Amino acid sequence: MTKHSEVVISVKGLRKVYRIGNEKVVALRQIDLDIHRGEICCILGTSGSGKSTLLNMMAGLEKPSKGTILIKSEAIEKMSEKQLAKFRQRNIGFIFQSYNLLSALTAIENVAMPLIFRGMPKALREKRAKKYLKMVGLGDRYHHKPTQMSGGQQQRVGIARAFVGTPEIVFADEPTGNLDTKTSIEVMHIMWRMAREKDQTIVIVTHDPEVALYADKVVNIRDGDIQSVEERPEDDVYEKFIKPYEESFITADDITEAASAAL
Amino acid sequence: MNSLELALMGIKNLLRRKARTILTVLGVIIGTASIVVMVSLGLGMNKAFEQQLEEYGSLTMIEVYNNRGGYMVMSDSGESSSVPEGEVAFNDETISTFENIEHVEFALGMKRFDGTLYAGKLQSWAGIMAVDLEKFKKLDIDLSEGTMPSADGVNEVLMGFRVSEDFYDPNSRNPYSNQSSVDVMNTKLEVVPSSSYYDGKRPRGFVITPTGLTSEEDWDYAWDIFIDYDVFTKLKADFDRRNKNNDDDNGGRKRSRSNEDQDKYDQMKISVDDVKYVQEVQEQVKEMGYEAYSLTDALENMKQTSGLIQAVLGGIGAVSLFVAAIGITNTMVMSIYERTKEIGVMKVIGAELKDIKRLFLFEAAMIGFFGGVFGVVISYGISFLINSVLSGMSEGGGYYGVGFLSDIPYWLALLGIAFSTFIGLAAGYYPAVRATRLSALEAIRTE
Ligand SMILES: Nc1ncnc2c1ncn2[C@@H]1O[C@H](COP(=O)(O)OP(=O)(O)OP(=O)(O)O)[C@@H](O)[C@H]1O
Ligand SMILES: [Mg+2]
Repeated sequence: MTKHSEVVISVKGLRKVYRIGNEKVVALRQIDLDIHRGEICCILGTSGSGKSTLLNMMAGLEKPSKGTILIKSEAIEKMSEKQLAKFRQRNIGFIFQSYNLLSALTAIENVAMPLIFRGMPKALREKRAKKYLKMVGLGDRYHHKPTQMSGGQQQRVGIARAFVGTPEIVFADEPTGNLDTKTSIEVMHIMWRMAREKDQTIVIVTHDPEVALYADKVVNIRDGDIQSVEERPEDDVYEKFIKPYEESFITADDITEAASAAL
Repeated sequence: MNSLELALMGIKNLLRRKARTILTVLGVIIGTASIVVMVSLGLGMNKAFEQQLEEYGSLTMIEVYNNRGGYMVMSDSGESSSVPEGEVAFNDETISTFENIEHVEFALGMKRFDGTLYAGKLQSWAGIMAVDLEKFKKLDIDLSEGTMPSADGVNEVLMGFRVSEDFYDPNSRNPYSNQSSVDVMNTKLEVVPSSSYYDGKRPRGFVITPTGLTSEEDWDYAWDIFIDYDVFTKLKADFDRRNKNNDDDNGGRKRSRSNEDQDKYDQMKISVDDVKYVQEVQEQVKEMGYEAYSLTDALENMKQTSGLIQAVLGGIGAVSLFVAAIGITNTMVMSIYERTKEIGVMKVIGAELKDIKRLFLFEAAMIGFFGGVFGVVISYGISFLINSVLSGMSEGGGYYGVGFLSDIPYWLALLGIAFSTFIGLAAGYYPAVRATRLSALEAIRTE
């Protein structure tokens, strides 16, 4: 991994303890992790292992009990709510498991939302939103409301919304959790393509082995500790899955098979 | 996030929950309408007072008297003829002093002389008011007939309408019981500038030429005959010279020359350019040592009373607007519960805290604003109803003629809207702050 030299996210000695009454729940024990620019990093682990907790803290949605998180050399755990909101607006995109589109708004309005907060003029942001909807293959669904779309389509709107502001980092908590395998594979293709285009960093929490196939780095977490980190050569994913799938040499089933083989 | 986008988003949010928005706005409408109508009744009352007072005379006039005047006239002793120290003059200098006060248009000096009016066999007591006719013309006196007199004609005078009604025949058996009117405009009138009763042969006076008669609506100038000061003093001097053997003495001749200058007038009128400065000018005049009265004194009293009534009425309205404010807060808090997830998502995808805060404040302010607008519209309707009912009553009785009507000036309408918008903002503040405090993570988790 020579190309990804710059560290974008650096987690040092991170610990998170939840207190419920007198009881303590140690969600994360001691996490040290570096994620480089342009990397697609997958955090893999069983339920309750602390994946979401780690992701939320990296996204600045939760404060660590101990340790520090540097994003672009800034310690985000020291920021105020106000600073964090601004920081997220400029640097971070977020994809949710349950899509979380605003139900009153159309696809195009949902995608344009982050741009509204940045104060981008309407004409410009609609153009941008349309471009991103086309990129996720929803060029014909601009004016559909979330309820008029399938889960896979909604998640693609969610992806367009996360990428539309070209943030340096996109966080995704189980983005394929509610989707079937084939749709999951399509969604991962889209995310991979988009991230590579602008050299964006993606951190994905998942327990889908298919999703993990698309990662440059797989971080295995168990009981709040990193168990192993697997790194792949830069073009590995492209050569093995992206290109063959796009050129129809392999099918979704082949990818599923590869995923179960990898386990 | 720019304000226009925010406004659009807020309006969309309100429209999404039409029923609840409308109900909340309805509360504000009732609150605003009750405040505006209550205040309008108070204002109408003030207006009615003013109208009533206008009928008694002009509200912009101040009557000024020299507060030692009575003392001078009553006393015949020598010491009274000199002006004691600290006392104030009442002459042309006084007039220019008054006219130099801010907001004073002009000051008019007047002096009343007693006289007797003869029309053929009939005669009448008459007050003769010597005035500066040039300024007198500016007083805006209603005439029922003719024009204002001038100093150029032959003893031209303005007749108060009551003057014509108190004539009697001194030679009749019962002179005072059957008084008769005289058509003063078309009868030859002679004035004797003295109030002494002449048995038998009366001194020769001078003939006057009435040019106009005051209107019966104007009681301020009803009782006197108005004539130019210089013209009259000359006539009176002539008369006094011709009748110097007569023991008629009105005191004037005894006074020293300087004293006559000091007391050239016994009454003044000050015209102020606007009612709202009358009290101010009046105070200044009083400080100079004069007695000053104006109809605004009465108005001031009435305003105090109606201010109290207004406060009570406004208080009733305020209570209903307060209830409406609670309604707004309640609606916005409900809205936060409903939109918890939405708020969380917005925060995660890049909304700043101030965006969230402004959004909620804007929505609350809009509820207040629209409530205010419709409330004011409805107030105009209610005001119209009240007025037509009251004027309907006045046709029957007449007593309610001036009655107090509801009056909504445009500033009250604007104030009503501004106030309800402000109430909306204030009511939305707590929910807005709460929305910004919401943890994004918790918010997203809620289903
Ligand atoms: N707000 C919280 N309060 C108390 N305990 C919490 C809280 N959030 C998480 N935990 C605990 O921390 C541990 C890790 O939770 P986390 O949500 O990170 O798991 P996860 O790996 O994302 O699991 P899943 O795959 O099921 O989403 C769990 O034991 C959970 O009970
Ligand atoms: Mg999780």
